[in-house]
Amino acid sequence: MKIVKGNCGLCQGGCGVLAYIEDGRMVKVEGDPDFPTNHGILCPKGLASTQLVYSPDRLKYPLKRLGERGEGKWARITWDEALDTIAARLKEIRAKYGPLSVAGSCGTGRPLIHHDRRFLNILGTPNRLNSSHICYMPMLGAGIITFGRFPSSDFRNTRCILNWGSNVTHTRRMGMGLQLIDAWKRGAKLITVDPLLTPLASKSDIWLQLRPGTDCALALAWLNVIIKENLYDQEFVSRWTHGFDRLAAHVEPFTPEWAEPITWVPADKIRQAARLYATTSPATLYPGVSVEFGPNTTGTIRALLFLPALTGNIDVPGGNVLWQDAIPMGTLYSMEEKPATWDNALGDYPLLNRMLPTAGHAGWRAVLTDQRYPLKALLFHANNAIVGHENSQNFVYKAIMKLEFLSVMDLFMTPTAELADIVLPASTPYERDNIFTPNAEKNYVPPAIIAAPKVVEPLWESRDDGEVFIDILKRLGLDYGAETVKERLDQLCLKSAAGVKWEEFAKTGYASYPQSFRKYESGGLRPDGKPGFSTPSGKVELYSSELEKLEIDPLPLHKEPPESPVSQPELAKTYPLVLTTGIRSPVYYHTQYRHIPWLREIDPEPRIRIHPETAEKYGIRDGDWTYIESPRGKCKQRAMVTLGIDPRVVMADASWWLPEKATREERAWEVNINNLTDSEPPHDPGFGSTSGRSLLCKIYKAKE
Amino acid sequence: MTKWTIAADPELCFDCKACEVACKQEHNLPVGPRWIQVVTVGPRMVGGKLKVDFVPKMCVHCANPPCAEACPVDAIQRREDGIVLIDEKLCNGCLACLPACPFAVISFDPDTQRASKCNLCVDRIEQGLQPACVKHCEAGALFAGDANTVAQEMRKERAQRSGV
Repeated sequence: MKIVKGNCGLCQGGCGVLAYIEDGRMVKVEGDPDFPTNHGILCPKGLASTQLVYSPDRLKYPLKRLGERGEGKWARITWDEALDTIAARLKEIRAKYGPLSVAGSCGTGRPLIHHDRRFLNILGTPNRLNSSHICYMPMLGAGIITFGRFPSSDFRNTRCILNWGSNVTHTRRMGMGLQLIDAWKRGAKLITVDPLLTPLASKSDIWLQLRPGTDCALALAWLNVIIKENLYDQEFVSRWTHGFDRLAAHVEPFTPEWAEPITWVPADKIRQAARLYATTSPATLYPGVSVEFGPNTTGTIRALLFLPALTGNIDVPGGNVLWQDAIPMGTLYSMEEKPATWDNALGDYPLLNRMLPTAGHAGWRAVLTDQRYPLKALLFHANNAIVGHENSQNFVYKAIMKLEFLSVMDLFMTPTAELADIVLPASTPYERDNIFTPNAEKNYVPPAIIAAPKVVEPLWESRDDGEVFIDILKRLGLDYGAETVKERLDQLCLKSAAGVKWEEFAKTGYASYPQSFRKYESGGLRPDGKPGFSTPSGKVELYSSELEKLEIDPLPLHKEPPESPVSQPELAKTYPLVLTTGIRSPVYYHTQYRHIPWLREIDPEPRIRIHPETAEKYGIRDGDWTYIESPRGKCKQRAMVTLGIDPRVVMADASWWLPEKATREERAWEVNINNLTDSEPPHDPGFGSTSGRSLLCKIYKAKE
Repeated sequence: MTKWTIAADPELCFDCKACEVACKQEHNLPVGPRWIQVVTVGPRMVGGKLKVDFVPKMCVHCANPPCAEACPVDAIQRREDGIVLIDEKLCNGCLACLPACPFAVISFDPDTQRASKCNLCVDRIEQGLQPACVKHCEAGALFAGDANTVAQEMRKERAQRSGV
């Protein structure tokens, strides 16, 4: 038995592990006590790593489809045949419809976004059908418009945490959950904004149980209190912000009394929470992914980001800090080599288009309608869109069935892979050399680059996606710009805080730049080295001239969710309950890991949270299979009757599928909450964000 | 001599379940036996406020274990160091210990057809390591060691949070 250092890749974090290797087999993993982010601790997903790597359900060999798409008939083929087939189909489709007719995508992006984006650039397509429009890009983009960078939470030095719509102790994210708990145990105040009594909400000094989708109204009321009661940092505001007077006049009517009927949060509680946040110094805002949903994400996130700006909590220890990334995002995502085709990205969302251009739904719409140009072939890597994308049954599925070609590379035969022409077996993160790049824009602190070396050889015929990209391009006569995955990793590591080639970096495995605070005074934020922020005004843009130019509200406004009891009272007669869908289990990561026995035992079935009064009204008891139905579709989940949710709201588990079921209907659709979510406009004008977390539904008891 | 014990502070537990999987992996347990399990109590109204507790449940290694008394074949023994162990060779799988345990923390292992419960990671402890669940707890809600030390540590953790 030998013990080797490696990294868990079961989420984006790349936590350090000690892998116990016996005869070439990984028999156990533990947290590496010397690793700077997880300090020897590991989450349940990471602790089940051996059951992932050695899962008998893994894809083992390349497969090609026999029979009709989705019929489930396959033939094992060689890698050469698989790659030759992919190359031949791409050639044919590119010749017939042009390079824009091919698109790709990876799901969460780890651990291959740095391969995937470059691969698509070289193929000549800007289109990447994933969920950036509701995850990551709105947060990052709103941060850039307002401050020039995203201001990440510094839990390590804080005295007050405003946890807005996140469940980070469950999702962990690069040790951020551990940092939050440490701060809380030190005595930091904790305020949680969430429709559900989450573990974090239950430990909070103040919990604001808001109506889903009304975050912007609540944030505007906080701004009203902070300005009206003079709780803002007058020196910072006058020196470093742009448009304060306009903002002050703008939020004047948005009193807590105005917000109460909209948000369902009592006015006095809004005041109490805003005062606690504004008078405890330093305080840090930690916004979760939930505020990246809906047609008003630009405004919502900006309104939230104004809280640290007004209270002088920007770029100070314990506040929200403008960290320097360990690798520039433009380098990581090959944006610096942005080809001309980026301007042709599907979906007209100016703030999204300038980064990772396409919203998934815009791609699916293009497949269905041939709008702008035909989209005929997709190369999917670690993307289970059938479960993970909005409006799956009536939108995503129909688009996939219309494709001329789909290849899917994954660990398991997912409901998406089931629809492919070619299925490729991927190696797990433990079976490949890679880097993890937890970056500041998504609140990873400090931003770092991590070398994650292979600890066991790939099983069966599984391979690294990066190698596959290189091989496909070679067959098309295109140059990836690197002969091997290692060469590509060398290129990235050399341009990062690592500063050395991959092999050399892997000896230490962790690097970040030295960080400093109040860089707006010292000149560390702008390309020209002058003091101030990297924005058009050089200040924090409370009033955004950039948004004004794009004809997007330059100051945040509350917008009623497009499908709510207020905006659609007629529809609410049939669908009377507010549906929100975001719940994450600590043992799963998005659509992954339902195959793993140790994890599935803990969380065996999807659950919908229902208040006891509501459950009684609809004749539902705790544990009953319950249908949830929206105007777009339905699914069923087990009722979890709980006082932790408002009687007018139900909250469903996200990202479920049932790999063990016999029929495709049961595997893909039976419990899939994305049958109910919405892909259609209105979308956020900047980012194309869709409504997944504030919809209408009805519920009724299912027969078993 | 150290009298080993293991204890949890539910106030500190965030219900992340790492302890459960750490235990499964350490002891290579199949689906079924759960030597440690986080149980949710609530939410319920307490003093006009909703309260929910996450309570990690495992064998507490009783001073006078009722399971040992109930065992007809003397397969359960409390060692001198306080660790209560089931001897798999002696256990006949009769289940008498299950209802005898006041904390309902004894499982039945479908593979071995024997009673099965927390052994306080006795192999790890003998190497000077913490039990796997304690090592991987994200919030430091689990404590293992001599009962006196554990009591002091628990008080210290609580005091820190309440600012005492």
